[in-house]
Amino acid sequence: MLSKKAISPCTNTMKKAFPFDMPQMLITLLSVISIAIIAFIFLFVFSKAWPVFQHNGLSYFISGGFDKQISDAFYSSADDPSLSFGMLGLILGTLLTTTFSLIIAGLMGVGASIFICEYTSGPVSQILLALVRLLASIPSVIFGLIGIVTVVPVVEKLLITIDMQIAYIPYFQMTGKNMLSAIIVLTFMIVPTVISLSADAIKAVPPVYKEIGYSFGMRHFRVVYKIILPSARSGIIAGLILAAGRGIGESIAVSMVCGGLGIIPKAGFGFINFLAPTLPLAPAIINKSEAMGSMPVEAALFSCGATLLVIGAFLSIGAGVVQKQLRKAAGYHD
Amino acid sequence: MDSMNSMDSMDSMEHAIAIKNVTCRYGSTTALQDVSLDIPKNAIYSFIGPSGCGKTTLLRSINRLNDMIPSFRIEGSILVEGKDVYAHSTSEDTAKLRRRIGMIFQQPNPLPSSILKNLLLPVKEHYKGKEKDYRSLALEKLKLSFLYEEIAGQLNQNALSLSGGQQQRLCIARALMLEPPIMLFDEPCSALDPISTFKIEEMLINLKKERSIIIVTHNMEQALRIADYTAFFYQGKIIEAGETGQIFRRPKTDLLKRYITGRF
Repeated sequence: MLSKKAISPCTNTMKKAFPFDMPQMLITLLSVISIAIIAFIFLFVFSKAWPVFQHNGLSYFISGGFDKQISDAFYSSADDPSLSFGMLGLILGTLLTTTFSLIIAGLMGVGASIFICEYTSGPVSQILLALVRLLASIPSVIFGLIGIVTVVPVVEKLLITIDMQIAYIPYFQMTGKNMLSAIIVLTFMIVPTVISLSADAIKAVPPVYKEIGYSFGMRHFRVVYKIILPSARSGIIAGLILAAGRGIGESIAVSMVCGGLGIIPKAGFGFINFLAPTLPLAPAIINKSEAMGSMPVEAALFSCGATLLVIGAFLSIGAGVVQKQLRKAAGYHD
Repeated sequence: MDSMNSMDSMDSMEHAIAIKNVTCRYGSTTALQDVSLDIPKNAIYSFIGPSGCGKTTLLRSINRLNDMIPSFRIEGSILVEGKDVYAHSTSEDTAKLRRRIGMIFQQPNPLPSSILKNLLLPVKEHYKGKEKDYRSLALEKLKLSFLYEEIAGQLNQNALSLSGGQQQRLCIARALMLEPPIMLFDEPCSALDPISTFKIEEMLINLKKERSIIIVTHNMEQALRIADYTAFFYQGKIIEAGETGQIFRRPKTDLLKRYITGRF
């Protein structure tokens, strides 16, 4: 008893001097604040978008006509706002441009990162990686500017003929500003992210993994294919997801080259769909933001934002599921 | 040194590996200086010596694993099964050489995939058979490495979920899949507990019946327990080499005497 008493007063005074664990408090507070901010953003965007969702219901997601609807909304009177919107063209535009640029950027980017990490020597690989990181930090509007003067005219000259333009006049005006140009510009925008994160993932593979491969008599490219890529898989996928997020949210650069019309792609048109103007959700917000003074337009653009948030959330959940499946395939049970 | 000379006179085909006047450099640093040694067949040869004395460099030179280091240079010749591994060799030759030499590293290093995939990686690389054709081979190798009872039902589990000692035995089983006549062990037990170490030593003694083994070790008791021959390295040179009993009981040089007694 005596010894217990002798010790406890000391610890008690220590506790009284610091009644709370300050660093832990601070971290908890900051995380609560950031969660609150995210919740607030979601609530704010959805409350602003609510009139549009409420008015259209499911037809918001399965019908088109955004380009006319937005001008109707702008010119409608405040007493009788025009709230009819069909976003299928914009949603498909978003998914198609992002998916295709992600596929191309994924192949190019992972290939380039393998080349940089495995087939160039130390200083060369460092210089190349520094260049790639520089590319990743270029503001997107610069990609848009370069796209307008290079990609757009090249696509127009190489792929579009006058006959084609005449043939498709009933549907849309065919110019170099189209989905293909948007995909190309977006690809160049996100490929540095893919290269840089894949390269980090490849460089993080323990060197001894390579040695195991060599010690079995595997060739360099077999070691890359069978050992390095599988081991770097998580990091590479994380890079692709980040790139997809950037692609979906990219507005300025895509808005400059996409043509600005929310046309619904038609299965019968085949490849021609890529030569049609498009308007993904994020560029639509930029494109129509000047008309925000009108309540229905504002609600429509916030509904674009809300849809983007939902797509982003699905992407992040999907990524989690894919990672889990991969871990399961690798034999982890958790 | 006498025993080495007597071995030199034998035909090099009698040895699994013949190392002749090998000098290795990393840039301007000399790691090995004019080293010669014959590794007999079906025996365990241990390399001992303080850190940085060149034993691992020599080990990794045998299967040309040092080739990956850009500044690495080697002179002299290393004959594996009578063939000079550094003379006129294409990448095809090197790949063939490495298939005949199993290597176990200091840290257990299964790849982050299932136990079975780890085991099948080397065979699937070199042979065209289906996965189920090699399953029995994999089980046989697991038995050889005393892992079969412990993990038989969990072949699809991730190899990283095994304990360190089990991982290292899995790596040995994986190396055995290609049936290499020569095996190189680079301090295989330095990261393991005594029970795992004991199991691996027992396995090595079984393996040497059909295989020639070199083991780099910092554990002199280990060398004494399992090695038939021992070479003592110091500052890039082999100071003494010969039968393990002689090396430990009757060291000829003062250096080795001091190393064995720990007054170094």
